[in-house]
Amino acid sequence: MEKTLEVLNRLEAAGLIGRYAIGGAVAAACYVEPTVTYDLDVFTVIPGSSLLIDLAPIYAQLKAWGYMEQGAGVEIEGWEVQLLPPPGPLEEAALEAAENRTFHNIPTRIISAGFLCAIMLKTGRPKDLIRLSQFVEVGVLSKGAFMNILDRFSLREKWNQFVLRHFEGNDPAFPNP
Amino acid sequence: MPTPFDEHLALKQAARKQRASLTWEEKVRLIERMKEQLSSWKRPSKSSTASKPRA
Repeated sequence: MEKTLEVLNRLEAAGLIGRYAIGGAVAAACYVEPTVTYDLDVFTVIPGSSLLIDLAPIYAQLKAWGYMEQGAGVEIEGWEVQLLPPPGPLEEAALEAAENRTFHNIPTRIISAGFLCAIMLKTGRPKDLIRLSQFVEVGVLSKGAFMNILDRFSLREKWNQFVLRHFEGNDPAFPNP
Repeated sequence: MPTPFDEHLALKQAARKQRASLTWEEKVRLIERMKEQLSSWKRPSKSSTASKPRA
């Protein structure tokens, strides 16, 4: 994945994408058991776009570097990279709060555990809720910060439903206050 | 007395814990290896099965 991250960093340095952060299964692997995935979900601001998102300049540059469109993204050094402009305020805040990391000395950013869980709760697909259970079970969430995110983005009711379904209504223990 | 199935579950649980304790870099390498293994498994194409007799 090093070469993929280097390409993303080049896109950012060239101003073709704004600040970016890895989400999805690859970011989740930072906190819980890894699961197989072909996609590298990358949240990023597309400079200059407002209502209409134009990925054409990015795809043109990637094509010039030898990377072709594949599926819903672009195949970059073995990963199908999907560039995802934040669809709402939650994802915008997640991108803003993304954590700096290095992957074999390549600098990058990942969405933090609290925001990843909030996004999974919002998305609500079965695989998201299973992964959310794993986050809770391994105890990587800080209760205060997570509840703050849920309240900021009106997700408390969804959380209560999740607790009812997955933890029989008993508030899960958070090792971190 | 644990049954063979209990032992099987305990082994799986231990393997999950071991995978979860890897570093992020190690986990991504694991994902990359899983991708490669899945890519090497190919389903027969339609053309290779189309002319075969069906039961």
